[in-house]
Amino acid sequence: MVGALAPLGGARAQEDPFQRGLQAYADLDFDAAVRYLRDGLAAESADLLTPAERARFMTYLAAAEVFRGNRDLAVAVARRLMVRQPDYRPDELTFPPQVTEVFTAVRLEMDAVQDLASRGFRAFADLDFAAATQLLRTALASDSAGQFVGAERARVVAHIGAAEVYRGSGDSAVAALRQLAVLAPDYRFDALTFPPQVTELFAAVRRQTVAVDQMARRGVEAYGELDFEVATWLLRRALASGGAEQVGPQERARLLTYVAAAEFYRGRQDSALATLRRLTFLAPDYRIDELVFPPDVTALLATARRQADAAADLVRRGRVASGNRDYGNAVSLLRQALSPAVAEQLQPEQLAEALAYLGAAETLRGARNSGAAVFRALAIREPRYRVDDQAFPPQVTQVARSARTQVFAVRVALPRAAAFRLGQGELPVSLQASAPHEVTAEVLHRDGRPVRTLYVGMLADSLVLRWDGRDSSGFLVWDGRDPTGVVTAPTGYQVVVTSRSVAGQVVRRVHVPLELDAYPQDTLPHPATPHDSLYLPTRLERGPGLEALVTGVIGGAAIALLPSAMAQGSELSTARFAVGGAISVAGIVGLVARFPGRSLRGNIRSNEAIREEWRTRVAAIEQENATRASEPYVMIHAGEPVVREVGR
Amino acid sequence: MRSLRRLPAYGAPLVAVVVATPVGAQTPLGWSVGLVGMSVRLERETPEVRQALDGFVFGGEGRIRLWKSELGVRYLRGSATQAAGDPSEQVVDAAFFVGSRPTDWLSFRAGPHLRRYPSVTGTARTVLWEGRIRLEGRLLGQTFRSYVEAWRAFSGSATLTSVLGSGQGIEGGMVLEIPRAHVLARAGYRVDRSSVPNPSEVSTLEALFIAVGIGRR
Repeated sequence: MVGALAPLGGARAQEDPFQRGLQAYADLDFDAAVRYLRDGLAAESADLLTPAERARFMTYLAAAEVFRGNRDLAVAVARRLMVRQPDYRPDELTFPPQVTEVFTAVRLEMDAVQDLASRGFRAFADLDFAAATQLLRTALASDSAGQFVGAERARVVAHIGAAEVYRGSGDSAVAALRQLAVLAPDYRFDALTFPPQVTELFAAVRRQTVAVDQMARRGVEAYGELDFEVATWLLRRALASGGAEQVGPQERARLLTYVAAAEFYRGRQDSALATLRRLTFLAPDYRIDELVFPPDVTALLATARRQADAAADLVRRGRVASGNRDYGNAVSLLRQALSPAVAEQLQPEQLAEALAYLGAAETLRGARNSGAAVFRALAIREPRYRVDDQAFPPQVTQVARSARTQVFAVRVALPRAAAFRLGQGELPVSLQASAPHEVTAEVLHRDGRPVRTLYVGMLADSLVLRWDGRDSSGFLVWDGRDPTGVVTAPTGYQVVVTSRSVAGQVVRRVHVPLELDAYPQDTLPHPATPHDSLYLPTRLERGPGLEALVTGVIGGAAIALLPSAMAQGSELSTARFAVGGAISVAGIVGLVARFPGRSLRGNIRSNEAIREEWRTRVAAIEQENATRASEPYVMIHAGEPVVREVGR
Repeated sequence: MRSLRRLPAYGAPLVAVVVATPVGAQTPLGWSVGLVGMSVRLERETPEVRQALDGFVFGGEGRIRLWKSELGVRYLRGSATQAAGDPSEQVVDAAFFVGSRPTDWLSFRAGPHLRRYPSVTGTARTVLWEGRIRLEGRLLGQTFRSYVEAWRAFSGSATLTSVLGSGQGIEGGMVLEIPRAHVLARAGYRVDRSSVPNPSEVSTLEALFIAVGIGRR
């Protein structure tokens, strides 16, 4: 309880933020307590605190936040504390129930998260990969306290990535493994638990991650060297790559700022403004570091924000006017918002919303044809957009539905990045039609030469096509080498979906550019040459032969000579000479049989067998490596779809 | 007479050497059992008489080794005659030993050696406490080896005289071992001499022997 705090005071208390915080807490001045304790915990000297001291001060901070009515902040403090000290329990005699309850809630929350992760790992072990990904993703998403850090977080992410590989969700797997590559670049998948394709995919993703990171770094360096053209090219390429998703919004915003600044210095203000517009969508609260970038860029960003806000405001005001049945004003405002100069300031969903409200306003003010035209434009832009039945009256939804059925448009969705071994994996191509119509889906070279027709026929609603990287003849579009055997980089491709009218006329095409990056698979190392200790000697050494000779001669002499010395006076038989002689002869035979330097054929054969086995293993690995080299790993990056109207 | 109580005085250094010697590259367990046939020539000599008896003894022997410790026994029995047509006289040779084989080529052994043999003055029975040293060497790998074993009695007793003068001997030969078949064969030559002082008699047993058995070293 507050009153239970020991009396504090003295000069030291005046200097130590912790003591001052505790004193303020005792005086029920919780605002001051929070201020002092936060200052103390944020100071470098806080690193010198013992765990018990830190826990004590953080508990007082949490308690002060509770008493200030900021339970969320108290929970945040409790989470920070309990991540470091999971078994910590606040003293129930010192702190009131509403404070201890905060810690109990955090503990239960952390236990629940841990339980989710454990169940996820169990599901993975039980090969229930759908449940595993769901449980582990939920665990990470629920980890408000940040208890999964370092190796534990890497383990969770690795299992998510592997489960996605097992499920065939290449895009999700790449995203998870990219996260893992950033989190723990040196992470090693246990070969007993994870299949080789997980390891290989992770290696490819990691290489690409590094490549993107290097590209971005070189772009920033080029900017520093005032080579703005190179900087723009490198940074745009890094940002366009699927690997750019590896960096968080802040880092992407920083790279975009470099691009904008470089474009500004190149005299391309419009391009700089467009870049900064993307930045405003990506990170609305981003602040440009004015020590790094010129004030002009900051000013441009402010302009972009103003323009975006103004465009959004136009849409908002049009929507309000429409709600007030001031359809004329609504149409005027929304058409302003949809004018090319303003529309580019809007995000796609804002644009769709503006079109929907414009179509509704036109319809409701009696311009039904105009409304239908707007809804057709909406259907072309967003084939799957459906006008909200709750927000608009039936006459609007009817017109919108009717207009949509007259538009033959397709939304083409591809994973932004997919990785697989050409010939073994597939690139999913998702088609969604605004209305049933005939479509043709093809893969073309970038220059328009045909590669493969994926689908020709009626698209009623939606369809997922898959491209396995082969052309119409069944050959891989790229196998790492040209016909002369020279290693080549893959060329660009595009997915083109053509929509046809009922009469069979081509009305529009959607082009999705595909960039292929190829990575050779990791090859296996050659087996180590057999250790010398495995080889048997191929020639006799001196030892055995000499040992036989010495043994024979000494043993024979001992038997021949010692008995007479031992039994002096006795008439011994000559048998001892025969035995001694036999032993000596045996010794000489032993010397001859094991004459030093003599070849040991058995050992030679044994050694040759060891060498042959090693050569066989080398040949097998070389064959496997050749196979791997001929089946490179490919990452396909899909660009933004471009709709081209035909016959207009 | 040398008392049996003096045995520890001789045995202690031997035991110390045995215990202190490191274990060689041996299999943990060695054993053998076999039959021994021995053609003997027993020469007995007193200041007055020298007689020689020839005969044949037959028996068995066994040995077991655990790591470097050994235990063995031998029993041979037969007869010898002075000349064709003479009555044969019984010869018994038995021994028991404990020992150590610290290395592949060296063994120490000690134990009682009992003999019953015809002497000039009657049938003699002796109990000799002997210490033995045995050296082995390879002639052709582990299969064919030769050995020399020498022994000396440290104390003992004899029934006829109750006093033992000395006892010593040497044996040598070749050993053939077929490890996969666990067959052992041994052939060699042996001299065993003992003497009693009063009445003075020296007996020398000279033998050619062959032994066949099973087991492994």
